[in-house]
Amino acid sequence: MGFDRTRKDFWIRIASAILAVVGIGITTYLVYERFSGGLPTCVIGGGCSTVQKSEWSTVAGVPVALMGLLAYIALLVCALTPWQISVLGAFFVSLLGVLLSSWLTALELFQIHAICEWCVSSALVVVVAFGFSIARLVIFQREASQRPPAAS
Amino acid sequence: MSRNMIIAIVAAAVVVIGVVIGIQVSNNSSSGQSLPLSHFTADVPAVNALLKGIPQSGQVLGKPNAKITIDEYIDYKCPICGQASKTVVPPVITRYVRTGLAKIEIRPLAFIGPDSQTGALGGLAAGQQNRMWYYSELDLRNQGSEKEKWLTPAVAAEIAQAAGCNMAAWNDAFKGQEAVNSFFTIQNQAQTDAVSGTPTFVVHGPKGTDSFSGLVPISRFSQAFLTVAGIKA
Repeated sequence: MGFDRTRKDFWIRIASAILAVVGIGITTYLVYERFSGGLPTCVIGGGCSTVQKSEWSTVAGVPVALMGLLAYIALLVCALTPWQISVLGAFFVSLLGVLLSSWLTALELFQIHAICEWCVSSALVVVVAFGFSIARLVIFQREASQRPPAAS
Repeated sequence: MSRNMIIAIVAAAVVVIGVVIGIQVSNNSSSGQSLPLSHFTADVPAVNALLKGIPQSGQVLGKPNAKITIDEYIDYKCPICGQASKTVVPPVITRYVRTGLAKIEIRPLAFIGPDSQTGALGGLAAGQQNRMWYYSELDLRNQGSEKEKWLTPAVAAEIAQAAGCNMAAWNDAFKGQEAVNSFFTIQNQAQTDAVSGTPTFVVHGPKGTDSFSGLVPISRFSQAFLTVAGIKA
């Protein structure tokens, strides 16, 4: 897997990779706290522990934070690889992330009545990553349409 | 890469999220009258701050060799007990229990409703892991309506989880005979102590016993300590 500096999406992939690493950092911390029995520390207020221990923090027993970690790892792999499947994969995973983050943020506001800074940070990261994935998709499509048809 | 492919990806993402939301909503509504766990966890930091570092053994909070023992009779659904938990008990713990002068034993009764007993068994099960005071404080600070049957086994489990109990052990203890035996022992003790309402505090010391009920000021405890132990506190 490699970065092709001649490609137009080079910087987008670099930025996406950085965002994915930030997301991995956030979710790794949340997953660690979850499995070590601790509670995440909130800089402002105490909403992190409330959210992390709420019954909405898992899906069929799987912690949402773990799902987020796997998604960010997938995003990182997509950012580091130049293939069409990576472009589509980044779009799919980041779209999932935006939808799930929106749902979880709504739960925090209207159901749990507590805000987890780590979750909000992750939501912001994934929204920006989604923007990059759309840009990458557009670039990839333009390049594909400008490519001369294969000789028969 | 066709437009149809992108539409298919968006549709797939929407379906996946729909399934995730469906699972979450289904799981969390199947718990019936259960309150959200966040309802109880919100007070975890405050309860931790109040109890951290004080020894707990079964129903007892405080050093075993403390000169004075306070028995606190409560009902987990009693609103006055909830108020006492926020106003009367914290200064008692801070001034007298933390300092080693007194230990306090919580004794849950069941007179408000059948779910009071559910709550009591839950508390006594938590006591088998020496976490009864965490359970009690989280319950009492976050009670539902006295008139509603909110203290279901599911809610008791949520409180126990918020209290940091090992849930496998708690579940066994909650259904076990030991908690039931303790519960009936407490009901008998309440009769012996002539408890007619909750919260009731019975203070024992080397010189005797003193008891009082309701939302009493901290000075009432000082007075009792003087009576039962000759200690000015």
